[in-house]
Amino acid sequence: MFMQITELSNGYSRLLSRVDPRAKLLAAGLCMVCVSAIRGFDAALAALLFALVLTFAAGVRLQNAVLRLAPANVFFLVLGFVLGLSYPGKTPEGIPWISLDGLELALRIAVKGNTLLLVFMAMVCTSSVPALSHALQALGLPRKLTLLLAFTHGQVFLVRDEFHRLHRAALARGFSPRCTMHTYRTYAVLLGQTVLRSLSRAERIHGAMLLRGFTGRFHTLASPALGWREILLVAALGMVPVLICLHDRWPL
Amino acid sequence: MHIAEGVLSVPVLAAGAATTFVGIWIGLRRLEENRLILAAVLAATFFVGSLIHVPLGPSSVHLLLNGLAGLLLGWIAFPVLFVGLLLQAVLFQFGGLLVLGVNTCTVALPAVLCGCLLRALLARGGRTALVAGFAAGAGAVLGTALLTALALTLTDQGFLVAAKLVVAAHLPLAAVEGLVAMFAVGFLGRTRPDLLAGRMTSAGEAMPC
Repeated sequence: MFMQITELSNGYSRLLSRVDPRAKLLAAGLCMVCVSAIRGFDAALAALLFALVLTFAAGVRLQNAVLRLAPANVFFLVLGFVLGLSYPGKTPEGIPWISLDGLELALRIAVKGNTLLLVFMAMVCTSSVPALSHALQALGLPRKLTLLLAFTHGQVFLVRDEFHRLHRAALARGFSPRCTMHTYRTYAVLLGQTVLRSLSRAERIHGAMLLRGFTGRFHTLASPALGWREILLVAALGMVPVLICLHDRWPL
Repeated sequence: MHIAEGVLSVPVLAAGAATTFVGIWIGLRRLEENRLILAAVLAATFFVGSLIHVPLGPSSVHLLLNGLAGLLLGWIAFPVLFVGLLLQAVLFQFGGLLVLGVNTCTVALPAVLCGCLLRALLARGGRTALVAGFAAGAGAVLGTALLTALALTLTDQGFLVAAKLVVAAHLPLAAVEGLVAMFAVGFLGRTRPDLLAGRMTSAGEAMPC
């Protein structure tokens, strides 16, 4: 019924997870733009290999990575099935309804998609959301937006627990979810009730924050420095997909 | 609805990011500093709501709730849904960083349009408000499906069949979303009618559309 919320940033102490999130965000952006510009299949495979090394360096567990890549790969599988049957192009001898071009395109999309997700997982998801929010603000995103991100992340777990409580209470009263109008009405009421409780909580939180002297800025205890060693490390990591992309576009 | 990374072309990604930038800019201008917590709590509620799997036939679907967000928040739904999608990307790897602009645009743009068009009907209450709730819930999901299909088709004409399948697959979800939004509007109308009149706090301060 309900998806579990887990964070990759918990309990990882590998090299990349200690790097300043600003540097990681910039490097991730560079890597991802380069990977998305790759056209050749060999270059895409090389980038995937690099992304796997990066994921290992970030200390992401294999099980976590596989679980997180699963939904995207289901999408790629369905896309491959559809493109394999419908994409215009070459067909294998004797099987005119299968498109080789479609299958090749789907495979290239899957390789690039997994590469982009692994880079994102290794470079971005290994930082906590509050740290990311600080980093995004330092990189020039509007303060209101980054505050909204930090506040929302803080509230997600409270609202989830609130919804769980209401849902458990409904189940205890004999509610059994089925494809019926009663089920949809019950979920709508649970959602509406959650919205109402959230609104009153928002007013309490806002009042409490003002009482504690909130002036629109969050200060973090963890403030990793952006030193030369980190910049060099991230630049070196960012250079690999740049070189792969350059070699793909202009081979020697 | 999330388009995965690696599917869309660079021009489509850039167009989606530009539209999202404008939407967020308008939304943030309308979001006053003292309503940030309120918007965040509602963003968290819509985020959590979108993780619920609701039964549909022999299977289940997860809700989008963008229509309801558009009705309650107007243009502020843009930054709120952006933050929700960013959190989904970070916490679950749904979508991704490069495709975040397109995903936000496909989810938030129909939500804002439905919100701005149908919000006036909510204030009338009764059956009119219920119809507006259904239309917003179903319309926003259909709009999302159509924009997603458009993004796929603009990337490559060969994606046309996949794009049609995306729209077809969203039709049952649109019906479910419409019903959930309609019942939610009915519930909010009975308990907090001020919310449907565009007032998001008990103090009666308005969230502008």
